[in-house]
Amino acid sequence: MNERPEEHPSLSAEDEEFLGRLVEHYAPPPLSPARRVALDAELRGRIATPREFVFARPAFASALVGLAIGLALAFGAFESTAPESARSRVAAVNQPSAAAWERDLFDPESFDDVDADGDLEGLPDDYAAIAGIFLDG
Amino acid sequence: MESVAVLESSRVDPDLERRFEALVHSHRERALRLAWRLVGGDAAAAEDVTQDAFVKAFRGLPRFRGEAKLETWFYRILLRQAYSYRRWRGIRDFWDSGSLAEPPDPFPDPTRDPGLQRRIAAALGKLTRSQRDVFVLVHLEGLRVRECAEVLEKPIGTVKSHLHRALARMRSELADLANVDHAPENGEKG
Repeated sequence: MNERPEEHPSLSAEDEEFLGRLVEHYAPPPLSPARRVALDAELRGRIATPREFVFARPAFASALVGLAIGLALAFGAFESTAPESARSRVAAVNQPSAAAWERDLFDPESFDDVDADGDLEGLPDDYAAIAGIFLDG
Repeated sequence: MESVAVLESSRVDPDLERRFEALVHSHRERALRLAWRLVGGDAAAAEDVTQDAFVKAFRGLPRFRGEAKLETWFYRILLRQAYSYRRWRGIRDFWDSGSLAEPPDPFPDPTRDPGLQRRIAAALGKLTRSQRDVFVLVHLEGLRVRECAEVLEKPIGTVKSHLHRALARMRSELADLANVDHAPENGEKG
């Protein structure tokens, strides 16, 4: 029978010998009759079992419930801390220092009230020295 | 396989189902051998890959349009399944970083040299996916180039090119096997 050129690759005698060795040595042991029966039974069982969706698996459902509980707890913890931080921001705006800052900004004459010497009293020595040079000068 | 059909394949042509059953019985050995060679000589993995491929093929029967032969279509699924396994094992090996030893082969073959089998598997592992597929299908399994091209859905010229490169690479990796009359080895090389 004449085979078309694409039927088998053309190989040298050395290639044929090399490949023959690979085929001989790189092959699994033959399937034993008992193993064949076991594989048949396993395959029959797997095919007969309805396809199981991952969402229907008990382990997946448990994991989903656990995740939901975890998220709820995490969200609850966030909720309990969020108002506190919001309150602290509101409190910061209403602090006397902030009010003074706003008054100074919109009422330049209020700077007249500033007692430079009095301010220097609260500073560390080196800062007071520097402030004295520039403010007094 | 007679009772198989009821649950899932009510839409499958009964004749196609019979052909599938015949395929399982006539191609199981070859499918196992092909999977064994593709996954690197791991018998347990080869069985898993083959069974998964048969199950996927059966469940895909309603979508089989008969454009290719049933065997060709099945081997396409098997190759994809073997590739998925290799990729998964690569990721697993990367994370394990070799800390876990490979489990021993549950079905060792006393007539063949495991060291040489590992060397051949390692050499095959150095080929690209396409080179490995064509090399195993044509040179080890004896498929015709045209059949291989149909399974891989690639032009015959591409298959021949992959075959040529794969053979050169394998001969280079296993130079001692190519040149010397091989005697069974006891130890593992490389």
